[in-house]
Amino acid sequence: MGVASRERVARTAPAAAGTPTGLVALFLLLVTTVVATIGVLGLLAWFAVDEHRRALGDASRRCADLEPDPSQSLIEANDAFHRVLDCLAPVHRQQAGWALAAIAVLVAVTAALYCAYPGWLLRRRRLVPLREGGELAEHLAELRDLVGLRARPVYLLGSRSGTTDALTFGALRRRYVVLDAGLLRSFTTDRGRFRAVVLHELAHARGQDVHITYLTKSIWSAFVAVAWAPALVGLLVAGSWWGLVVVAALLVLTALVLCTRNAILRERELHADGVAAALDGPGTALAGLITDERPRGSWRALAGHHPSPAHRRRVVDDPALLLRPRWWEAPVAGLTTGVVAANLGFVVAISLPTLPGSGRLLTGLLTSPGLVVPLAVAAWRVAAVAPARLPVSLPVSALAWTGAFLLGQQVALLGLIRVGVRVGAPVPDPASALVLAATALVVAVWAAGASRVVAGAFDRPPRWALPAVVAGGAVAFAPWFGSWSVWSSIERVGWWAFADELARYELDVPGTSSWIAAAAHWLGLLHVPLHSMVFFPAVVPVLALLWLVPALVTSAGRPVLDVRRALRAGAAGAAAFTVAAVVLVVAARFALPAEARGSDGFRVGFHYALVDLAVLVQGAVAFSVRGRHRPVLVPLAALVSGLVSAVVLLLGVETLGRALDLWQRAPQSPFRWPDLAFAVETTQQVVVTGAVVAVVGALLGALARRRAVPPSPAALPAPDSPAAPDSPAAPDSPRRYTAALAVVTAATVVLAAAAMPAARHFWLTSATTGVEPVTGARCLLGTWVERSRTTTLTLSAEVGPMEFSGAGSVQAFDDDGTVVVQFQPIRATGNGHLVVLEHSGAVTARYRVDGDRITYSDVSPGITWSVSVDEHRDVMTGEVREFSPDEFTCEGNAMTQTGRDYSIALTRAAHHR
Amino acid sequence: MAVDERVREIARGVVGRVAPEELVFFDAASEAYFRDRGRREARSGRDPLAFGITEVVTLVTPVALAVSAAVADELLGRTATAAVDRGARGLRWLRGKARRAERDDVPAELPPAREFDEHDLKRIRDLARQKARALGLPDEQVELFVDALIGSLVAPDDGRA
Repeated sequence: MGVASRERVARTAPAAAGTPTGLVALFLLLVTTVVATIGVLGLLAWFAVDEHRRALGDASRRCADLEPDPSQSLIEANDAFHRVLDCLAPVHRQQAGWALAAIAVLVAVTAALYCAYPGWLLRRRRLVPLREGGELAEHLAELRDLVGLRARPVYLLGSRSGTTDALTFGALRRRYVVLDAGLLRSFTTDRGRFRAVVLHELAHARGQDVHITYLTKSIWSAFVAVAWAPALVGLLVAGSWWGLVVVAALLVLTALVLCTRNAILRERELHADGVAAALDGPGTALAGLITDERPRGSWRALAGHHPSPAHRRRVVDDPALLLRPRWWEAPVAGLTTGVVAANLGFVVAISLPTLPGSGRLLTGLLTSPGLVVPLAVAAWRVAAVAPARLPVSLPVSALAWTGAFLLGQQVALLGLIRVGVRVGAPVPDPASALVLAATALVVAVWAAGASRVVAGAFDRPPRWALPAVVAGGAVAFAPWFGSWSVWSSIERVGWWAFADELARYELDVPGTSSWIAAAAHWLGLLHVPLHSMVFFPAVVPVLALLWLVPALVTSAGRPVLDVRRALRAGAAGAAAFTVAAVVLVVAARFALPAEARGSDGFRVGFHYALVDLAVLVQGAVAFSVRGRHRPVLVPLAALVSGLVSAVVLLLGVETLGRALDLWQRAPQSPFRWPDLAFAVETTQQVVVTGAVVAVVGALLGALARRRAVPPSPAALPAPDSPAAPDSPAAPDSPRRYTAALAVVTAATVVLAAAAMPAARHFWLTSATTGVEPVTGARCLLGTWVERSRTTTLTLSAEVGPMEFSGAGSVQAFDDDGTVVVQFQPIRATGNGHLVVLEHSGAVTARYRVDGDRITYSDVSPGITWSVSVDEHRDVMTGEVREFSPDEFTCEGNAMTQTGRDYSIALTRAAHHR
Repeated sequence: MAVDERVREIARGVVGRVAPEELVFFDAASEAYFRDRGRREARSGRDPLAFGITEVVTLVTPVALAVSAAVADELLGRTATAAVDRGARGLRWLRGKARRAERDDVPAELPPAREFDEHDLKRIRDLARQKARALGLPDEQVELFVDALIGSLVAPDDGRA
C-alpha cells in the first residue's frame, strides 16, 4: 500500500466502521422475496378450493359490465376502474386474507426460531460462561469501548478441543460471544491475534448484525418449512401439471432465497472484518488469520457462507472498500421497493376502494424511503471516500434503482395475479419511468451534496448525522414520490393541460390582436401531476429540509455551508421578478385598451404570466448558484426567490394594478383579493413548480460552467482531501444568518398551515377525479325537479313567520361532487300582501353525502336573493353564501329533502350520464 | 464433590506448570468438563457463522483434566473414567449404573498429598503417560506433562507459584 493509500485508509477507515453497508438492502430483499413468495402460495391455496374458484368466476362476470370502455374520458374510465375494484373487493379481500394468513404463519415460525436460537446453541454446543477476570476482563472491556458496544456481551467458552475460532450470536438485546479455548490461549501467547478476532466478533455484536444474521437464518428455515411442506403435499394430492409448475417455480425461488441468505452471511463477515481492521489500525493481525485457501469455484463463491479469503484480506487492508457501493446494492433496493410498493398498493386499494387517489398517495409516502435511503447511504459512503467529486457510480445507481423498481412492480403479487387471471402484466408507462428516473437522479445528486457538506464539516461525523440526513431526504422527497405513485397508477404522469380548459374559462381578450388571447391560453399550460403537488400542505416545509437538515447538522461542526450565497441569490431573483412585474403592469396599463384590461381573459392570462415569470426566475437563480454545495444551496435560493416573488405577485402587483387602474373594473373575476385559498395556491404553485425548474437551472448551470472553465489541477481540491470550505473565505453564515433561515422556515410552516383546508378537500376526494366518495348515495346522482317546496321564513319580526311555497326548481347532482341549483321563485302571502323570494341565477356548490345527510360547501359567489312585496322589488336582498344541510331520502325517481324549516319533494328528470 | 475438586486442583497444577497461558479459561473448561464428563464433546466443525479460522492448537487443559480424572479413578480403584469411557448412550447408561454401584464400595477421598509410595507413583506415571499419549499430547510434551502431574499430586500448589 502506498503512502497516499495509507493516508486515505487512515482517514476513511473510521467512517467505514460507522457506516451501514449493503447488508440491510440484502436483508430487505430476502424478506421481500420470502414474504411475497409465501403470500403467493397462500393465494394459490385459495384458488385450490373449488368454491373459491366459482365465486371468482361469478364476481368476474358480475363486474365485467363495469369495465371502462375506450370511448370513455380519462375521468370516466378511472371512475369505472375503481367501480370494478369496488365490485371485486369482497373476493380480493378473501384472497388477501389467505395470503396474509400464510404470511402470519411465516412470521410466527420465524419469530419462534429466532427466539429459540440462543438457547439451542447454548445447549447444542454445551457452552459455559467464561469467568473473565483480571487482565483478560480489562482487555475485553477496553475492546468493547473501542468498538462502541454499549451493553456488555456474555463471553462463553467454546470448543475445548484446540480450535481457535469464535462466534457471536444472540437475540433481542442479549449478545453472546463464544471464544474457543485455542483462541483464549492466544490472549497470552499472541495478543494481536486475540485482539483482532475479538474485535471482529464485537463488530458483529454491535448494531443490527446479530439481529439480521439470526433473523436471516430463521427466515430461511421458516421459509423452507412453510413453503415446501404444503407445496409438496399439494403436489402429491393434486398431482397435476399445474402443481409441478408451482414446485418448479418454488425451486427457483428457493435457490434465490438461499443465495440471498448466503450473500447476507458473507456481507456480514466482510463488514465485521472491515470494522475490526479499521479499529485495530495498521498492522492488524486480522489478515494473517484468514488463511483458508481452499479453491473456490463460482458455485462456492455464490453459495458459500464466508467471502473468499482474498476478498476478506482486501477489505482488511483497506476498510474503505466497505464504503464503495457495490453494483448490486441499488438494483436490490429498487427491486425490493418495487415489490413492496406494488403489494402495498394492492392491499391499500382493496382496503380503501372508495379513496383510490389517497390510497396510492399513502402507498407512495410509505415506500418513498425505499428510494431515498439506499441512494442517500450510497452517497454518504462515497462522500467519505472522495468528498470532492460526484462519482459516476451514483447516477448509475439511481438509474439502476429505477429499472429494478419498475421490474419489481411487475413481479409483485398484483402483477402475478394479473398474469394468473390472464389480464397481462402491467407495462410501465414511459413517462412514468422517465420521471421516476429523473427523481432518483435528483435524490442521488442532493444526497451527494448533503453528504459532502457534512463530510467537510467534521473530521468524523457524529453518529446521528447520517440518520438525520437520510431522514431529512426521505421526508423531503416523500410528497414527490407519493405524487408519482398516484399519477403513475393511472399512467398519467405525462399529463399536460391548459388551465383555462380545465377550469372552463373563456380566455377572450377583446380589443386586442388574437395572439394575446393565445398567449394567455399557453401561459396557463400546466403539468397536472406537478400542479397537484400544490395540494400537499407540507410540500414546501418538507422541501426546506433539503437545506435545513444539512445546515443544522453542520452547525455542530465547521461552518462550511455558505448560506449567504443562497440567500443573496434568492433575494436577487425576487428583486429581478419585482422589476419585471412592475414593467409588465405599466406596459399592460398603457399598451392595452380598457376593454381588454377589463376582461377575465386578461386577468387570468396576466396572472399566469406572472406565475410563469416567478418560476423562470427561480430557474435562473438556480443557474447562478455556484460551488460544490450547490445541491444544498439551490433549494434554499429557489425557495427564497419563490416565496418573495409570490408575495410581490399577490400583494404588490395587485396594489399597483389598482393604483394604475390596470383592471379597469371592480374585482369580480374569480381571483378576488384578498382570497386566502387563492393566495396559498398561487404561492404553492410558484414554489413547487419553481423547485422543478430550479433543478433544470442548476443542471444547466453546472454544465455551462464545466464547459466554460475547464478544470485545472491547481483549481481543484485534492481528490481525496477533506472537503474544503465552499467559499474562499470560510463563512460564518450558519450563525449570522440564523435569523434569516428561521424566517424562511417559519414562512414555509405558515404556508403549510394555510394550505391545509384545500389539501384536505383535494385528498379526501379522489385525487385523480375529484369525485367525492358518494358511497350509498348513487341514487342522488342525476337531475331533479322540485314537485313542491315549502319553506317557513321570518323576514321581519313585525310580520312573523311566513310559509313560502313553490315548485319547478332544478337540482343537478353530479358525480364530481358538485350540485347546481336553478331556483324558481317561491311565494307567500301575509297581511294581504304577496311576497316573492327569487334568485339572480343558478347556484353551484360542492356537496358531500354522509349517511342520509347532504352537506354543502363552497357555494359559488355572486348569486343574490331578493324579496319583492307586491309590486315593490328588492325590498330585501342578500348574497347566497351557504346552504343548510339536508336530511334526505332517495329511492328510484323520488327524493325528499327536509330541514329545520323546509320540506322539498323532488322527482328525477334525468339519470346521471 | 471432594474428588472432583481434587481432580480440578491437580489439573490446574499441571496446566499451571506446563501451559500457564491456558489458565485464563481453566475454570470454565473444568466446569464444562465435570458437567459433560462422559459425553462426546460438541461438534467442533466449522460453524457457518463463526470467524472461519481453521487453525487447531494442542491444548493441555483437556488432557490435564482427563488424565487427572483417570488417575483419581485409578487411585480410588475405579476401572474406567468418564473421559475414556465413550460408547453408545445405552451402554453408557448401563456403565453409569455400574459405576455408581462401584463408587459405593470405594473410598470417597483421594489419599492426601505426600502419601504416595514409589509403587503408586510409578503406576500413576505409567497411567498418565499412556492416557496423555492416547489423548493426543505430543511426545515431546508427555514427560513434562507427567512430571507436572506427579508434582501437582504430591505438592499441590495449583501451579501458580
